[in-house]
Amino acid sequence: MTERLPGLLLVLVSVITEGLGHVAFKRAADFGHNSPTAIAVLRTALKQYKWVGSGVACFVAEGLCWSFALKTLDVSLAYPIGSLELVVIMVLSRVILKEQVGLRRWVGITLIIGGTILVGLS
Amino acid sequence: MKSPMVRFPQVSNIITKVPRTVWLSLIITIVTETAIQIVWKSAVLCVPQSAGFLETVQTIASRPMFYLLLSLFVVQFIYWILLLAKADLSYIQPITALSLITVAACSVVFFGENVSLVRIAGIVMILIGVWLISNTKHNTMAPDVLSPCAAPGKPSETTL
Repeated sequence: MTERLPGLLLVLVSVITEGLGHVAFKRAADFGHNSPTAIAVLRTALKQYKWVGSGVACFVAEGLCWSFALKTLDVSLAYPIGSLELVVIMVLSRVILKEQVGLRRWVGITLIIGGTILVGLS
Repeated sequence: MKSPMVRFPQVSNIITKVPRTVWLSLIITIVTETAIQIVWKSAVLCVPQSAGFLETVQTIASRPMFYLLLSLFVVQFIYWILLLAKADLSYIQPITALSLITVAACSVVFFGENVSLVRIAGIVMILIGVWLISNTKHNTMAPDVLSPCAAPGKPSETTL
């Protein structure tokens, strides 16, 4: 257990950083909501350098943490713990993005996390 | 029982009520995510257990697989931005959890892992969870984004 602890901590850090990265990208992408074509959506969204930059920074940090975590943990273990990502996403979507996270979405992610644990540990 | 079409009305809702860009991008995202997980793991497997930070980065960057990984990231990034522009983060992110199932399926196919009852139960749970979420409104933020003057979201518009 103790030899797995650094790996587990890295997974946790990468889960939170990834959540923040998603929020930053969502902020950038919202600018392209009304753009008529896919190219226009991308162009408008990618011009939000501040949001795209912080998003990319978060994902690079997340990628490094995840790479090191996978060195010590099996995917079958890291992936189920990584599904805590969903809780982070739900909370950040509610608090920062003001999305309507209804009961159905909470029940949905509870089932997904439960299922992920079963798949990972079986 | 009279009409088989009425038994699972919500399944067709995903196709009819959610824009094609959204569900098509979701499928592409899930497929690329599966490929990324498998390629990434095999890239990391090439790194010696004792390797330090720089050595790890160098070893991974020197593999040809790294460039495949990079291009997969670019594809996923493009479709992810398109998705984010049209749908809630709390809607699309859980749905991409379907990649857990495709990754599990790949490990069964490529590494001959057993398909246990527990694993099937887990996959069914994930499917029900994704199905529940896919039946919520895919974009609850639209009114504010569309026009700043729009009335604030009414309680009747809440998901569920």
